Amino acid sequence: MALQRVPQSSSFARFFALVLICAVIMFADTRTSILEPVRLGLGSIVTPIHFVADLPSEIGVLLDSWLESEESVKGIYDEIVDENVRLRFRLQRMQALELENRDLRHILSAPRRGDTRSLVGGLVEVSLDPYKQKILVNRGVSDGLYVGQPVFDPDGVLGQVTEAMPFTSAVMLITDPSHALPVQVTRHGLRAVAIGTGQPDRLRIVYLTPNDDIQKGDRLVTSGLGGRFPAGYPVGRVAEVVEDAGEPFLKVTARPVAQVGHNKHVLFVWHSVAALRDDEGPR
Amino acid sequence: MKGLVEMPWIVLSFFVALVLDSVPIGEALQAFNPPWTLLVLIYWCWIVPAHVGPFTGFFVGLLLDTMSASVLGVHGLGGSLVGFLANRLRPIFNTSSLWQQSIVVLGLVLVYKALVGWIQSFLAAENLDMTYWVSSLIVILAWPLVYTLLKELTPIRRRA
Repeated sequence: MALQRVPQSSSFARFFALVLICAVIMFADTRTSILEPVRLGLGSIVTPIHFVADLPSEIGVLLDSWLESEESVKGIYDEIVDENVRLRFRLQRMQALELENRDLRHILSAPRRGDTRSLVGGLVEVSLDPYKQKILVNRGVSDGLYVGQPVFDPDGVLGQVTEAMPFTSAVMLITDPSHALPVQVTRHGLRAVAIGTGQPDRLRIVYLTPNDDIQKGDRLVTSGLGGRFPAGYPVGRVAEVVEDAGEPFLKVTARPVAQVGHNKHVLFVWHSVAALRDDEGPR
Repeated sequence: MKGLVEMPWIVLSFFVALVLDSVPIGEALQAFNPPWTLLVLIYWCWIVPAHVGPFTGFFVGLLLDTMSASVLGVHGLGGSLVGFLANRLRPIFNTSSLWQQSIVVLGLVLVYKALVGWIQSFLAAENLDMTYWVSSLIVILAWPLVYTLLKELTPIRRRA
């Protein structure tokens, strides 16, 4: 049988060139951000693929909403109206507190806290790397998202945008093993770093010595150090503190307050730089 | 050029394979979703080696990188390796039965997974468990399916 004439030597040379290109790309992508335009280009090719892959779950949601009975919709509606009234009541108090806080800060001649702007986005149901704690959301560069942007869910910090494509973006969750989040204990302002474990319900708090005062049940909030996340947002609660006499550091685990892995809607937040400078350092 | 006539079929098959790769089917089953894109790549590397090879593998790999939100070039490298090897292994494909081909394909998929898994655990702390390897066995069943579908549904034939 006559095989097609494929120049074998050139195919080897081509393969070798591709290996080199891949090595360069990997290096460039991990160390620099010069490949952002390439990612954007590839992202726009991938968008229709994600769109089609998301269709079955979209259709499922649609069918669900058709089959929902009128009573249950009414029930949900009543619940939402109820919650809205309660939230608006809390907002009244919040506005008064914000004013008071601004006046106090003025007296202390501390800089004013920056304002934040937010945008709600939904999840695109596609399977990403099963060994990574990442989600894909239906907002992208066209909505003004940027790499490194903090992402929240209704309960607390969820993660940050790691890849912004034209109409979708990938969000790395705080539970990803390669994610580190600067946190602070609300009880006394002790600062620490929360690192993901790869499990959706566990964070590791590292570099705390047995001398540090940390207990089970302590609340953790973002410290605002590093400048990525605005300060003072809930992250989790300390679930376990283990002291091993042979180890220099405590083994502290925390449970994130965000519903990691169960969210349908997420919140993207823009916070002004003034807010960071203000929140750095102990008060 | 014949290549221009065949192109839409090849692009379409890759599109379908990429969609199948990213359809969510639940966490437990996800690991056992065969690597459709890779199988389609191997098929075309065998049937139309003049048009599909390491470079196609590289490009499709970059798409997989973007889709799975991993470091650019990881799947790209895996794809070009599979493209290259599949091009070279054409004589074996030509002379073996479907089930024997499945074994060769399984070997290619394992090489791909070893390379990608190794680079990913090198770039970021990731723990690859047994499922990562065992799930490749599904390829033995998936290859005959991919082969039959592509052979029956596309007008492209191996020129012998």
